[in-house]
Amino acid sequence: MVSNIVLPILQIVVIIGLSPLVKGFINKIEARLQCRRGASLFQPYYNLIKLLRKDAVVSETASWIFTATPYVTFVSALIIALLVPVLSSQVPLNFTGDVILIIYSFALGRFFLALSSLDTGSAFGGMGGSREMTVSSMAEPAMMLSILTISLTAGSTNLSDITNTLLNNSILLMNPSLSLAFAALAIVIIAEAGRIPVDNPFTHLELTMIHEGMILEFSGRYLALIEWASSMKLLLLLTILVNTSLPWGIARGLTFSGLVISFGLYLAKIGFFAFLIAILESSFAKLRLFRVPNLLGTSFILAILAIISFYVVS
Amino acid sequence: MEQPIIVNSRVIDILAVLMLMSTIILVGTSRLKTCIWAYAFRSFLLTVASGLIAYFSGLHHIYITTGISLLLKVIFLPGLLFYIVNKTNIKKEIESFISYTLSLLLSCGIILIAYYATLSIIQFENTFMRHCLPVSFAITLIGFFAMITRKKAITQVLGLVAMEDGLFFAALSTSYGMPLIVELGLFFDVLVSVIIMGIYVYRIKESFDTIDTAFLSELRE
Repeated sequence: MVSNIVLPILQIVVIIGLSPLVKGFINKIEARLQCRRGASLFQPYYNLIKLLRKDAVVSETASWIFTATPYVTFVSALIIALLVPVLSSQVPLNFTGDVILIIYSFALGRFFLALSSLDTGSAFGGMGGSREMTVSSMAEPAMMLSILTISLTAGSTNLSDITNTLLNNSILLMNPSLSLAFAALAIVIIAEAGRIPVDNPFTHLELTMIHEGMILEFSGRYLALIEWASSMKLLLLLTILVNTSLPWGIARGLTFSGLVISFGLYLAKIGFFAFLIAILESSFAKLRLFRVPNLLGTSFILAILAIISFYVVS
Repeated sequence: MEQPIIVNSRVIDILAVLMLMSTIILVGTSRLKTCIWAYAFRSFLLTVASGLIAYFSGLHHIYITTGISLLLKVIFLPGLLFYIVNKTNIKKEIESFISYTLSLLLSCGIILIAYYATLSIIQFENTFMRHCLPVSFAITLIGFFAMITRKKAITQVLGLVAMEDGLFFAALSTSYGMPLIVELGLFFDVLVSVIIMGIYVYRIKESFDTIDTAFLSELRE
């Protein structure tokens, strides 16, 4: 009974609370790599607080979709936060959904963002929306295939079961098809979270922006919710990758000490991947939009190879 | 006893799959220097794999080929290729007869063919190194494919060395390498052919002001 209350609260607090920190951490590392001091680690929190205090300006031509979108994206990220094993391999909403629901909850948030970008009739919004949909139409098959490979190897589509199976049989993790699937998933995560080789999260340059183009019309608390949801998306995608590729140390039950150790290791693993993203972003330039299919095609091929080598060899 | 064998073969399998990924970079990227780095990385993985195979099987002559491959393929040949690239001042990106996305898809098809063609062999083999034969076959075919589709002479050299890597790995993983004298001959062949092709690239560049091999069919002055 206690676990039914404690675990959801814990997961939501961890995901909501930590997600701006991950963004701040990546920004800080990048600033350090460029020999700048950089903004404080907590700058994303200050931004969110400031935005939440401000008034929202809504275009006169906007329909209800525009005002509903921030809540839909935020809540879809919250639902995913309850479906992903974060600190414990148990999952609060285990009974109702699996990894396919996770993929399509991400898609739901993205769908509403694209709709709202068209809603106000701004040229940049439509451009951003169409680009986002193009990128996601290429990223989604690769993500589905790579996650299905992981599911096939573990024998379940439930993330909690996958984590448990991989934890119990570490030798499964040395499967070559899994390493291909993780490589494909890593590329997809960069595309989905809008990080640098695909999209630049820092600028509002009209020729290149994808995600920033879509949210150009939002302000005040709406913008805060969308920004928060996008940083939660990054953290959730990293959590899925971390808990399937490096599941060691995650708590199985709900003992206090187990959760503390699991939390420490979780911070370390997420920090490691965030560090890798920061290094990647400082060493690569953003790809031209017409080169993005090339990158995502590579990811798709890796995912196809993963699933083929799973079927052929095992 | 069973567990370490599985772990050993899994390690080699993962190295094989990483080699395949770095071969895909050869057809998937447009930067020449990235291709050369990918070649150096693949040769390094190949060296590690052959060192591990030597260690697991206890055959000492594989250590010699490992050492030669480290010197030749990881250090000397990539260095030579970088030298040629800098000397001929190739700044342009790689040009291909077909688009990158199409060549990625075709190389995916090639890998499928490689898995399908070796299926009847690998399904009777025991657990040791099941990925290696299809992967080495795929690397050879992708190298061949890169040689056909790329315009520049230097990328064709990269395709050639990819084919050689694939053949070397196939021999290594199926029969613990060829006899030492054959291996030495092969290494010498590759070394000489890359040097000769390097000189050719330089000469083509001098006479045509480009290393696009499509110009070689123009016979008029």
